[in-house]
Amino acid sequence: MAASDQAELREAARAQAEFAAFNAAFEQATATAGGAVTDTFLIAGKKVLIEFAGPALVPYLTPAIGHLRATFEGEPDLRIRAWDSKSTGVPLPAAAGDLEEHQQRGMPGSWGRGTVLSAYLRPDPGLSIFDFETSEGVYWLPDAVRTPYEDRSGPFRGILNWYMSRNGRQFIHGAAIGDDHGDGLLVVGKSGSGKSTTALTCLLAGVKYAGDDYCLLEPGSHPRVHSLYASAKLHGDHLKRFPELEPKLANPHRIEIEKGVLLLGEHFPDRIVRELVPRAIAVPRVTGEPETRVVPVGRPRALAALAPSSLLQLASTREESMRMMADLIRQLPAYELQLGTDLQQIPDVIRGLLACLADRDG
Amino acid sequence: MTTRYELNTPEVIEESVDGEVLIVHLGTGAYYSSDGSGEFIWRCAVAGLPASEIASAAEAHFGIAGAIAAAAVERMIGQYVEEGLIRDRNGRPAEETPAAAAGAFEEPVLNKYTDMEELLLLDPVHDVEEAGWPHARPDLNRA
Repeated sequence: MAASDQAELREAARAQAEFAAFNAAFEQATATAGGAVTDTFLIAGKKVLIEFAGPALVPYLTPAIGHLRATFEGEPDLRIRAWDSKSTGVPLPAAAGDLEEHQQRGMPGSWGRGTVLSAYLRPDPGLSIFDFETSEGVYWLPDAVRTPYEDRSGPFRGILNWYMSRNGRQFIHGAAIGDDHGDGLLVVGKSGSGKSTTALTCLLAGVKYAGDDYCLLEPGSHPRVHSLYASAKLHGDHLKRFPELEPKLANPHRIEIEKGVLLLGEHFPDRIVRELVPRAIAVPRVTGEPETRVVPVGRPRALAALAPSSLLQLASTREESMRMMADLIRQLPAYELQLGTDLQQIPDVIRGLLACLADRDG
Repeated sequence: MTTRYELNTPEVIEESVDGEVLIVHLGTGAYYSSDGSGEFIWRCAVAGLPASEIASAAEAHFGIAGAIAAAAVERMIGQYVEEGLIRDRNGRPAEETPAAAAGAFEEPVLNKYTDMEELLLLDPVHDVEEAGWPHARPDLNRA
């Protein structure tokens, strides 16, 4: 056996040992917390069981996916275990590995060891470890009460991405909004490009909403976009534009130090949909002009707006992810969404575009 | 001129759509685009053709002088190597070069974008509390 192969095997064994130590700490935390609290979800058609070590993390890590809560028969496709040290009194074991090493392994261009992937600080604030052979993941935070807004608005991104990317679903950084018939528009672009403003303006006007930051793409000849998080992260400019939303924030006492979290499933349940059929890609651009318009744009521009911002936010990115996104772009018309200052025009323009696309597609 | 290259995987991934290639360097956060003759040269380079063969292919495909083709290919391959997008194939055979649509020759350009690099910049030394909490720098805390 080559020396490099032996080194790989050693690393894989070390990763399995870290996973086992991490999992054992979860079991210990569950015992000290008085037992596990379980919850089940159907996420992009996959059965997901989440076990919490006691109740402390539940109110922080489940509301953003509450619209996907479901009961199911049989074994879960994905099992996630979550615990925190403060509420359970169980510290992160040294045998779970070095945090800085986990952080490096969670970078987009790095790779796992054997069947184990891990990440720390990004994409999630806590430590994630996932074994793709068993489809089991464990997530740790230091203190449930201080759960950061990223976790509250988009929990378990690392583990969900690792599982979904191996099971026919792809995380995409984009908003998905649609009509009452299930036809949708995928709005893609880097942070700050206008995705959330578009999605929120439309949501408030009654347009259907599947997500404003992350969605799950089910590729194929008839692609679908699945809702993942029914939440919005609002910064100061958003709150100026949508002052009616500030009283609804889940973390009003922390908006001086972090973004506001709006749990849309709790406040707008009738406007949240689980999936949409994407009919077009829109790349937003803030123009400073009053009017909002849509104009055709080349597909390469749409891919450039979608792929880098999706791939670079995730951990251990796979080549297949880029291919799935490119395949989606090849199937759909692309538009530039020229966002005007009169926000009230945006929902009407979106509705008009969706109606035109429905007529075109028959 | 005889080195054969391949894509610098897994850190670099790429796809072409409508004659334009998008290349993402997952290690640096930079991404790149190139169309026309640039996409043609990129396709040939990652398929493993050496520079001399790429130049001959470009000369025939675009109907341009050999010296112009050779200079363009040398310049582009130099950029790909400098940016860490390709690496030596180390003897692996070349792949079949995909067919390319005919078009007028324009000087190839590799456009580089760095607006996503901040996504990789969380610094564990300065941005994490003792208990393990992360703190993105305030200038990164935007939509």
